[in-house]
Amino acid sequence: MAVASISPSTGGLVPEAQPRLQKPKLPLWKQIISSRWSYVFIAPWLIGTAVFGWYPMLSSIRYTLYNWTGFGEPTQFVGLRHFIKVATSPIFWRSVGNAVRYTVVLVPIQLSLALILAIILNNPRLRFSAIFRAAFFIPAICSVIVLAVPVRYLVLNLNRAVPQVFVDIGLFNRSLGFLQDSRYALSVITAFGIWQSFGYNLVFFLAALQSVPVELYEAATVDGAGRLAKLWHITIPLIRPVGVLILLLALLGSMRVFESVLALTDGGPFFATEVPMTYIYHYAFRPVRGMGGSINLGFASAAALFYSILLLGLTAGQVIVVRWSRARRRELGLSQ
Amino acid sequence: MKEKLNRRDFLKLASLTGASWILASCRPATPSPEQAQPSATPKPTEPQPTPKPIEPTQAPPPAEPVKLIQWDWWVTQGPWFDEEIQLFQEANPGITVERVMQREMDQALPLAFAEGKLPDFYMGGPPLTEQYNTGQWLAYDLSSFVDFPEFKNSFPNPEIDFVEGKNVFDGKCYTAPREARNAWWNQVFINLDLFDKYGITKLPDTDEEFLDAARKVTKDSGGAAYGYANGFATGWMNMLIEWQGARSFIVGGLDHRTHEYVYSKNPHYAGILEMLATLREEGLILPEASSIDDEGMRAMFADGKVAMINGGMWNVNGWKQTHPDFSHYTIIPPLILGDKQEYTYYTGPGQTGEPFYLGSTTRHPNEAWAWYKWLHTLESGIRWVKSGNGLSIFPEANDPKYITDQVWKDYVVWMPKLNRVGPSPEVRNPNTGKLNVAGPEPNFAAITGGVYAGEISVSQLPEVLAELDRQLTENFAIALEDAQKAGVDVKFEDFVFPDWDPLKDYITRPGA
Repeated sequence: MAVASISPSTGGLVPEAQPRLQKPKLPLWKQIISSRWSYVFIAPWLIGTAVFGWYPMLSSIRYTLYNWTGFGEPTQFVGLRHFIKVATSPIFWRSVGNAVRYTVVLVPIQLSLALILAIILNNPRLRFSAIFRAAFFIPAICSVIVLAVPVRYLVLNLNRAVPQVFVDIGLFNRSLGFLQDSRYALSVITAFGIWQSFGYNLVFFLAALQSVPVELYEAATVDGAGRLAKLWHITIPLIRPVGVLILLLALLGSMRVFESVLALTDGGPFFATEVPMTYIYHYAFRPVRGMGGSINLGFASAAALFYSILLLGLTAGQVIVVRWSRARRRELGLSQ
Repeated sequence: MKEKLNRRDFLKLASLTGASWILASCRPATPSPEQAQPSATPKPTEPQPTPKPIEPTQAPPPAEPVKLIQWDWWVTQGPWFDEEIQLFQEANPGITVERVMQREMDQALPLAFAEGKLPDFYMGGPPLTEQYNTGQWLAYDLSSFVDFPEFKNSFPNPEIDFVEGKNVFDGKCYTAPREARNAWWNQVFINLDLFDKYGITKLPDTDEEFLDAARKVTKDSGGAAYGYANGFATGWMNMLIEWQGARSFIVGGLDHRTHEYVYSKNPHYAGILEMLATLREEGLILPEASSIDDEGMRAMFADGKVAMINGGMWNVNGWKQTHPDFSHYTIIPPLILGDKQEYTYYTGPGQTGEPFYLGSTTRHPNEAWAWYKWLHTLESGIRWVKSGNGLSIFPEANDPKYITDQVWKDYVVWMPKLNRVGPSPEVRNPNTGKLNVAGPEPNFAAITGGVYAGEISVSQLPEVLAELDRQLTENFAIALEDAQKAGVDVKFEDFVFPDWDPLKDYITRPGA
């Protein structure tokens, strides 16, 4: 029988909420059976991920304990020596430093640019917005190597175009150019990275912006809010959870930069643009260039595992922040 | 309002998608033996049994046409291969040879081996010592052929042409030498048009003369030409350093007399790095050099943009293809940094040049052997020399009458004077090949790049080279200890040759 109570504010009767009828909880095996078709349809992708993702990853843990050229079975057990060498390698830590520098510069610039352009392109009255969207997104879907090679030659050809005055005051060395001069090489790679991949984030921000209810902007207009006020009080809070996710993905992606470095500088000059992925690649496939004497997949696997653990910390942070953003969206009454 | 997709239709669509995916991923029922590219997931395979060799030295016409698949990466030497294939096919009807360009031998060959689909004939790949250590033989045992003794005795110096631990393992031979026993094929090419134009009459012999010539060309041309360049993008920046200073220091930094690394002890290593730094600081290097590869640099040299470049003798044929009218150039021997020549280029016994192999899983061993023997005859050697690609293991083929290029004539005259057979630990004790020595970080090539880029200053060189020596020594000691712990019968003394004279041939005896 419903029980009523007196509302302290109105003095009227307020019926108590009816207890919700709950379904009896099924045993786990019955829950699985009831969702069997879901499992059937995700099975192919699960198997593919296991075969081409988890299995190689777990296998490579074994190789980290051996010297191995990739030919035949690994036989020379070295224990944890590779991990010690990676952890004490100045070049490895320099590569991590380069990746951090790349990330710290690229991510803020790229996300700011993507957000600004997304806001501009979100204007329904902007003509040819679809063309602009496609133009900005095309570099993101092209192969990085295909884009980087002509960019490399473009930058090369700038050697002779730099005014002599810069050469005379020591700001530029024609023998080195931009890509062989450690003062500029990483900047060139960063600029390339910003241009090549900001299209992804532009599309994500655009999608987030389009999920913001238009009525909020209309209500703000009625209340006399200007553009900046709308941006600060409506747009940014509502796209913040998505923005945080984009930020974390951008951070992780930047820390794993590889193709652009390989194509533009191959980690040179003298490791000034070496990043962990190229460090691993050079030990696994191209030892002659600057390190090592022969291919050592065991060492490369150890370096890859070591770096993965470092990035795991970043991923853990992502999980925490995603959970926070979901809670925030619940508070704001928005859908998950 | 659009109808939602019902469950039945969804299941039909998913089934169709899955079925088409499965069909698309099906392999052909009968894989083609000529399939060149192996799959990405290797499977273990049983080695093919060695077929019984035929008695005649020439392959009889096969019952059915045989196509031999050959993997190689030669470009400028390609025409020589094509000519040999044509002549071989005319002499051996029923046998054809198909060349497949393969630039990633180190990755592709093991994968092909795992699938039992090695090419019939190939070059490069994992070293024989590695195949011996792992027991996984990609290379065919040539000594299993009945006429192998006759083949071996056709070589000028069988004693050093076939050596246990080099191209023979446990009495079985896996490759034969074909090129002349010259350690290095890379030198400095001089554009004589530019030298004549800017009044340089003496070819550089020392590092100072090299710098003076570079300065003259760069300054007098006003930037239209530069003194020096290297195809740095090819990754051969160390070409000038390690290979051009070979008369003043030991390439590789290892003194075989004591098995000591001497990068920091011999001042000439730092000396030639200083020369490189000077070239860069004074702006004597072609601006595009840092990012253009060997072939691009070759073209710029022929176009008169740079006076001196590093390269191999393959450049000669490269220019014949791209700049047939360009011929006014020459080569110089390695520079002398001290007051006299102290060292040379060193080669070892056994195989020379780029070795060829037969694939151990070949289905046409006799026909492949006939092709292999063809390439290792005196006649083929003469055609090799005539093609301008190199010198032959047969001294008769290196007669100047077969050489049309003046550059090659000069090369033939002075290059043999700069080559010596060096000590060979693998011959003394084949177990020395079982050491797995980790490389230093960075190695000498990287240090060269660091000096060029200004990342390492000249004043830092003593410290950097000392660290290099320290790492090399430590890595060797670790490798030796690991091998001994694994039960390999090897000791430090196997690597020491106190009686070695760097200016004379040293013939290592097994067990001596």
